[in-house]
Amino acid sequence: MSRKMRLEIVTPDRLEFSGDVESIIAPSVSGYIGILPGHIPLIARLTVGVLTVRTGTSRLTLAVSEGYMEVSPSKVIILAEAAEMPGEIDVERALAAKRRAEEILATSKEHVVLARARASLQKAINRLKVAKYKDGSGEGSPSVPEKIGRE
Amino acid sequence: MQSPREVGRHIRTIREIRHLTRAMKLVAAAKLREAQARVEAARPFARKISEVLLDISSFAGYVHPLMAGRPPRTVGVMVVTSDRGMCGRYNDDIIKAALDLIDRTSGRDAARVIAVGRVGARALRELGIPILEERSLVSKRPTFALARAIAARILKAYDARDVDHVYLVYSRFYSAMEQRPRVFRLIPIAPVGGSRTDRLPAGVCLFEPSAKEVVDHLVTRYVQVEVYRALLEAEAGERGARMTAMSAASDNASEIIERLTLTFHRSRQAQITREIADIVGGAEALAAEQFSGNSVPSTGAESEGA
Repeated sequence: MSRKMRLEIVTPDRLEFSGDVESIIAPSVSGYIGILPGHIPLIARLTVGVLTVRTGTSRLTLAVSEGYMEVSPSKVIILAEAAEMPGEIDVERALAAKRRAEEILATSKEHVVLARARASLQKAINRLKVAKYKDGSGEGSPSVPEKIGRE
Repeated sequence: MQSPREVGRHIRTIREIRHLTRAMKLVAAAKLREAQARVEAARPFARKISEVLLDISSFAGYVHPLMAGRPPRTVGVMVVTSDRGMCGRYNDDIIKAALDLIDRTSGRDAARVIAVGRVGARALRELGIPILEERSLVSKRPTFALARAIAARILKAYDARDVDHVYLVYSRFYSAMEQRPRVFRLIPIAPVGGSRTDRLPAGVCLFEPSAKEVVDHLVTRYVQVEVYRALLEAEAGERGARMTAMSAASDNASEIIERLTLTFHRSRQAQITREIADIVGGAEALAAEQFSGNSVPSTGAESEGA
């Protein structure tokens, strides 16, 4: 039996996840961090990226953006502006956002606009990446859906 | 006494008003459900941010200026009211709470208001309280982007030393029947953690990338989230207040209609009685005329009969 820790993922819209998990891999601003039960207390800023959570039987993959992770002895809290499971991601919308952002990056010269476009491009790419995990919930290495894989 | 026709017209008017208030009640009820779901969904996030901030503040070894605070020469107050009336005492309660707060702290001249909602902005401006910024929702639902813009305005005013302390005054949503004004001090920040038992132990804690950067970022986010929560609470409160007010208005309309209907029947009865009396009087006069064979003026006969 492996040890477990309590994880709560909260977004401004809802409590996205709450349960006992075995490991967490989160995208901090200075690189991905892995958390196992009994980790030293830690507070990290998170950035746009893929959050991977292992529970006893399955593996969850979420697309997160800007947020925080607090690791305390008894539990881990992840506060993120957005956290989406593969099934919740609207691939069409993410593709549209990606195209829009790329267009702006190619045409605009204003710093603020460019920065915003870069951020939304990052989020769109991240969502698309996570959306590929849709069928891989039980396996270690997720199968890539062919439709997106061929693109 | 009014004629039955007049009373009838009156009843129709009230009935139309009741249509209106009933429709407004239904609209408010539908929107209330949405608003309620949103505010309840947003509460955990606000609470967690507070908790994390509370943890950090106890041992980060770095105190953010917004947490340290400074003496309150001026007080900034964000007042959230509705854009429209027809919601009972909702706005009055909030404006009163805001005025109480201002009088208790800085006094009216040293207050700076950030008004969300037209009703509050107008009322406070008429009282001569300086308005720093005015926003209106125009009956649209509050977004996080709006909260971010307001938060940015508050922080800018703080940095420019336009405000030293900042309070949020809004209606806290409890249920459709109950909303109470809540006065919350946003700056200096004193996060409320409630009765949390699983606090981080004092001592070693890692920060990624650094304590200062995490705290700076978290403080900004905290301000945004609290503003957002205030907007959502206020929206749900407003819908609830409007629903209750319109429900009471519909009930009152029904009561008035009932009373007027009674008046209508009475007045109609009186008219019928009067007409019958006229006819009977006329008939008697005719009978008297036939009997005597004289042509008596009808007015005379009536007065005789009466």
